[in-house]
Amino acid sequence: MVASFSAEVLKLRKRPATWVLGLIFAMVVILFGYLFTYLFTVNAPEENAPPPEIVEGFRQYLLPEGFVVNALINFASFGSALTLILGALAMGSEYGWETFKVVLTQRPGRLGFFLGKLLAIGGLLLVLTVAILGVGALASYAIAGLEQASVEWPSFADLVRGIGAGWLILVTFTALGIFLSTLLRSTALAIGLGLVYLLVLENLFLGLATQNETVQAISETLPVKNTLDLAESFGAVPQGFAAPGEAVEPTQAVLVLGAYAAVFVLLSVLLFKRRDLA
Amino acid sequence: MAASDNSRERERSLEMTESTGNGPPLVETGGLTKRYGRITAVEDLDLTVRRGEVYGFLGPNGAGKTTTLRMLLGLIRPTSGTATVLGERPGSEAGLSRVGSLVESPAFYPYLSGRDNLAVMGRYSGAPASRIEEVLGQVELSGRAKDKFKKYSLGMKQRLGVAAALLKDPELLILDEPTNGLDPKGMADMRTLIRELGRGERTVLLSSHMLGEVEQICNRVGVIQHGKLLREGTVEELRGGEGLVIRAEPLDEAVGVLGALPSVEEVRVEGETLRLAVDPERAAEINQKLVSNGVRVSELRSSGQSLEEVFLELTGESADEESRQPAAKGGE
Repeated sequence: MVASFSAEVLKLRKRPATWVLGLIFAMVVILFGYLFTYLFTVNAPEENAPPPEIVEGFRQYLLPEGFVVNALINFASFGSALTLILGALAMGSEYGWETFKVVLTQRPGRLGFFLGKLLAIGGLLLVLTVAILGVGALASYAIAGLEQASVEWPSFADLVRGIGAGWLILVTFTALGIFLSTLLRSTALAIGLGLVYLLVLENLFLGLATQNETVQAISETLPVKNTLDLAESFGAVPQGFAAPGEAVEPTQAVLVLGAYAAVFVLLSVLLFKRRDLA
Repeated sequence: MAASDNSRERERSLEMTESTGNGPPLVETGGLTKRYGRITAVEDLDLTVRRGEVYGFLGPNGAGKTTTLRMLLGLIRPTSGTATVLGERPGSEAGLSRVGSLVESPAFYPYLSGRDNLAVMGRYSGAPASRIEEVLGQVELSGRAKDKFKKYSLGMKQRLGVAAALLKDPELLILDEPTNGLDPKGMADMRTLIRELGRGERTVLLSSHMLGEVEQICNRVGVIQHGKLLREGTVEELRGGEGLVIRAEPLDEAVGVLGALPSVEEVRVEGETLRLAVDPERAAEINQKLVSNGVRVSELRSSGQSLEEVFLELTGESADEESRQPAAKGGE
């Protein structure tokens, strides 16, 4: 497993796609999490500006004190899709390039290979979580400068909890990508189907949840609702950015996301161990 | 390399095979079978590869060669039957640590350089980093090691595949159609490389659908078709008993001259030709004897069949154009 971890780290580090996804994630946080939100709310011309109480909400959200919740909302909306792609690439490409036949005949058993890969990806996601939170912090600091507001950072405990929550969110959707690409033994189909699920089905459930109790009950068991609610537990989220309806408890959200990640990983391991590599 | 060099090389390796063949076989399968639904890819295969030999696994495309090799590497699970590789279960870490392989086309990470690809494989296998430069040199890729794998020509990709197979300095090298898709120069280089690799203690299991290739490189051959092993033996065994066929006049006189030679074990008259049980290397000496005794020799050739004839006889079908090609070109 250690050998596989070390090999996987080298592969991930030198793979352009890893850096591209990371940079896109960072840019998305800066552009959508801060710049556009700032321009269209807090800094909007008076005739287009939302009511003052809503603007104040956005202001809190954009300043350093709200940077953890702001980043985590972006983890839910953009990070989920980007890490689904990352997971699908990390596993699916090996099918596409047929590298399994070379790698698995080097020495590591399939379980060792797979666990090493998961460990390396888990490590990468932790680095990504910290980096994106860092980007968010810098952006919020810039906003504080523009607004000439006092800089108040979240407590250290909140920051640590935020890193944990962000990592869990990214792990869950990466695991979905890994599972889909292992199941389908492909990258393209896994990414396509994964994104359709994430962007269409999940949003459908979110949108219809307030209309119907059954839909709401189902929605509360799905990853995106739990992700948004977990993010919301770190501070006030402006209207339209949070999931509609009652938020689930953060503990429940953590358990649901953890369960999804565990099930996706377990199913992937079982599929990968049992199947022939023909 | 000239044909006579090839046969000398093979003989030398054969002697070594015989001297080391008493130990347990390196690869042994018993009743190995793989079915995909109703299709049987490999059926009841009993294969034995001995230490130190270059074993040729010969069969037309789709005969089940790759499926067999993948089973030996643990990539595919057999439906039934047994297999041991270096005394271990196929795919086990203990076994794989002493096996190098190149299965079908070479597969690497396109965004990594040749050297980085080997570094990745080295990390997986635990081979020391110093091996990377050694194997790059062995396959003559040192000069292009910095280039990305996706920029390599097919020949270079194939050589990188061999380099990866050699990283562990393996006891057993499994090569599946290593010359597939290469140009004639690439094929010749690859065959020379394989011959060099097969020297010494290392055992090579090579699959191919190219008769000339197997004839040039291998000591022993297993012929497979429709998933079944039709025949297994040394190239010489497969080609039939050694001897000479002579067409000469007058026949009676020729029989008299040949019968008196101590090197000739048996003389048989078959129609207008004579079939001799004798070492074919004595052809020139026998010709000289006949001519000096006033016998006119119009034909003198080795009596064994070519591997192609044996193969066609065994498989009962004409070899496809691709497999004839190297034989027609005379290989190297």
